[in-house]
Amino acid sequence: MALWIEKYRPQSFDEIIGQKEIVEKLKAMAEKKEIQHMILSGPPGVGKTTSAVVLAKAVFGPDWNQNFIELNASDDRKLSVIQGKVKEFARTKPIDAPFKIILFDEADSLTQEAQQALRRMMEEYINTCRFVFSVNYQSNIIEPLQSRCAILRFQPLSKEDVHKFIKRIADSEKLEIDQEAMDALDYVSRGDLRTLVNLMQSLSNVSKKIDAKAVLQSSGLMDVSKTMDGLKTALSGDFKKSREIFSEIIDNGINMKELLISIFNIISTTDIVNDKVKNYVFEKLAETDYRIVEGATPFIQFQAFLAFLASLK
Amino acid sequence: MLSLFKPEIKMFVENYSNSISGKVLTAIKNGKSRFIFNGPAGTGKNFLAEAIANELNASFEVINLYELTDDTQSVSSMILDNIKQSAMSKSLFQQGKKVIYIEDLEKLLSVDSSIAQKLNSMAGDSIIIFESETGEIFRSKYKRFLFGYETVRFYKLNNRVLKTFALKLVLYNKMKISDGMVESIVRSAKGNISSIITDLNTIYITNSSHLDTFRNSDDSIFEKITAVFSGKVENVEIYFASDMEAKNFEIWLAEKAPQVLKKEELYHFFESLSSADIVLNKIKKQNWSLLKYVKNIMVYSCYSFKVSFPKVDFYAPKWDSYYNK
Repeated sequence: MALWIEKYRPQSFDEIIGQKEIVEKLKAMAEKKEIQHMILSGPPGVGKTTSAVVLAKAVFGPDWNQNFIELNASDDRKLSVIQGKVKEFARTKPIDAPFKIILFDEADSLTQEAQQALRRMMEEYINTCRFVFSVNYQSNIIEPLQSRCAILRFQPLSKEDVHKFIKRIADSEKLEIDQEAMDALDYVSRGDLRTLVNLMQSLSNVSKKIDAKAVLQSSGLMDVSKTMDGLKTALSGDFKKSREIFSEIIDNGINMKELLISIFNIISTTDIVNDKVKNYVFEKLAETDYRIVEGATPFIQFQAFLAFLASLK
Repeated sequence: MLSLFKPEIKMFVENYSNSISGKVLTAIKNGKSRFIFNGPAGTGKNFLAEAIANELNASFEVINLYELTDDTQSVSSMILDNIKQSAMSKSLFQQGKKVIYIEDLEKLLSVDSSIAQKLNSMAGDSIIIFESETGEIFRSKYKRFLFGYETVRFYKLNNRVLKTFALKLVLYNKMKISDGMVESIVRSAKGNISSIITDLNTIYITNSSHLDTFRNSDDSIFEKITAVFSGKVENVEIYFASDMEAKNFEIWLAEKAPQVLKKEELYHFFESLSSADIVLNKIKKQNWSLLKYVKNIMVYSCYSFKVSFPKVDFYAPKWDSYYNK
């Protein structure tokens, strides 16, 4: 059985979801067979790498693999690779094409030295090669490189776009998905299509009918209403009871990280906490998350957070 | 692709108040041959070096030390070899001078401080230009190593000069762009001339008139959330719809806050912003949720200061209660 993530990866510009302006620009570049050095920046799962591959296919035709390499985060990012592999690829002549393309996937992890070395190479081999960087944060690229590159900012996908994509998959895989489940899928994936497709595939293995409850459970997120209950009891000053509620939620096997994220979502989108106090709640939440990431005992830290909420009363 | 101006002295772009190119040319005429070009990215250091080479009918060579070797210890000897070699080749095959442009002086100095001195006595008749982007080279411990080098300072270009340049380039390539578009490109470039060239190139290739995707033009989003300072929390949601980087957002907040907040409010605001900054620097890059918290803290703190919410330090022990007993 094929992985859906490969099966539904866009093969042409028309299949790319959202990002209208960017796709227009890339199309124009492909038509003229003139592209610049580029930085594609945006959150994960919005189509950065896919757009780069689609662009390469559009420019180079069926034999696109000859003139295109992708350097992944798993490849060595040391200076020696830039000096060896990259330089070797960039300096040699392209085959039946005006230029070659090198894609640095997850270029956030390129070291400063490696970027400094690229800076000269980008100018020297402009006649034979174009460099494309895909990053989460544009500020991880040094300024001299930024100014040499056209910057394309990928936006997080909108709800409509995500729904359109879900419908497309549902139609071709003959899945049954109602509106509520779609909202749940959107909520869980947070605009990241890679997560979305993987989740849908794993759910479809269980049954062809997907409902909201199954989505929330399989994603490791609990029913939001329960979390909401726990928060409300904590805010009313009843620390013990809220601790009971949350320890039940945690016993059901939810990840502490996911729990914090869902609490964050609840607090930021509802009026459960007074606007004036939100500042302090978020600060405390961030502190809790930070401590857990640093290796403190999750449940103790979480209880500290609950005690803080109870003290607000 | 956009056709660019050839590197010639008369095409060099600089602010009207300084005359960098004139200074350098006079110095060369007076027999100087060692320079340090110091200034931020995109101010024309590389361009001027190449223009000088053309002016003197000399050959031009760029050396980037990161391209040479992985082992930083042997970098200095590699560079010396390189320059020796190119000086040799000049004397054998070529007539005239040679201009050698060496990038990233700071890194070189940190590896081998005496390299500039060694170069001073070598390859006497070629012009050697070091490039540096930070103020590191002005530290007193490097002073004696850089003796005999003429430091030329480059400054960020102002928008008037940049606009003239952009319009020239537009005319040169017979492009059709509205004046407003040129202006917004210039504004988003923030004094970096190569950003302007890249952006004009994008327009030239794609004919796209969509401005939002150019670099740092997130001002439109910012304008919308200025309302945050006036105490409207709903506007925070608009911010979250955009993919603004937390770091840039921080800088923007720091820039705008003094216009809106009063003295004491400002003090507390910067206190909380700086603590958010620490968290921001410590967290792992992929940690999206934490980043969101930090952003939220920053946004909400602006809000709470404006509505003069009584400040409670939840982290400090509550001494009041002890005293009251």
